Amino acid sequence: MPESGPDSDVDLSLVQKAQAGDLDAFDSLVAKYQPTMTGILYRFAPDRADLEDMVQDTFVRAWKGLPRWTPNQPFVHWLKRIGVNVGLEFCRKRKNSPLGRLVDPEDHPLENLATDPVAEESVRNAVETAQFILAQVPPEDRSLLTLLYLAEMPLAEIADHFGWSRANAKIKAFRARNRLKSILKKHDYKFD
Amino acid sequence: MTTNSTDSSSSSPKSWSELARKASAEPAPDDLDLRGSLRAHLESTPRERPAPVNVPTLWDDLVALSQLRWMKISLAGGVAVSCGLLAAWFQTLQEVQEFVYFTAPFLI
Repeated sequence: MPESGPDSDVDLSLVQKAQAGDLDAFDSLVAKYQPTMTGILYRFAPDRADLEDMVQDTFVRAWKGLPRWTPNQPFVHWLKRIGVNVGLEFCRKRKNSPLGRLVDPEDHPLENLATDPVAEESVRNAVETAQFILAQVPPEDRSLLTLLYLAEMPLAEIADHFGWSRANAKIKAFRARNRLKSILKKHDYKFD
Repeated sequence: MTTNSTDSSSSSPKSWSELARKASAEPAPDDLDLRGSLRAHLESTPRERPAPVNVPTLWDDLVALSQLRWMKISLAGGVAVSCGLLAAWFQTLQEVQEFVYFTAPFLI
């Protein structure tokens, strides 16, 4: 359903100019949506270097894919979808990322978190702690749970992003929660 | 990181919902300055061209179908059965012809 209103009209005008190759128009879109994309991608990668890479990658993909954008969906929804895909890829490649090495459960057992000051020092904030835990579930579950719990995205929207049916999304979320529960239980975290 | 690390480290949450709530409320860094490097990158990046929209024809469907393995096997089977039937039909025709050839003089 296309959005209507002054904001979407501005977007449409800027996007159409950007589609024609106008980098200034695209730069205006970047300035407008960078905080939104940073907010989403930060839930995947609290590490600044990773975050910068992911935000930049999102906008580069958007620029490359702009000719395929059609006004039957709001630009911001399309952009978020690209961002979520970038986040999902990050989860898949986490073993090779600096955060992936940090959160490798074999190297850093979670039970050490509360007692080991070095481990605690390395996990600086709530997002990193949450990602530390989520790194122990499969990548697809990790991205689903990141969007559901950390980005607080409704399940229906997540289903749209991944191209799942609502029923399928519910089943996947149920299974992902169960896997998360067993990991949390193992490490004395309660799922409430 | 811009977050206050003492908050989260001094009272490590043991509840997932509390941890998730804190993580979702944590502000993302707002001082990322990517526009310059992004612009430089985009200026050297080629754009995708929209792919021409191809409406598949019946021929395309047939070609696609013929590339399926089960379809290839079915076609081969069909051809073999058809050949067999054709051979049997010719044989029958020949037998009928011979029968007519030999019995016709006696029938007249």
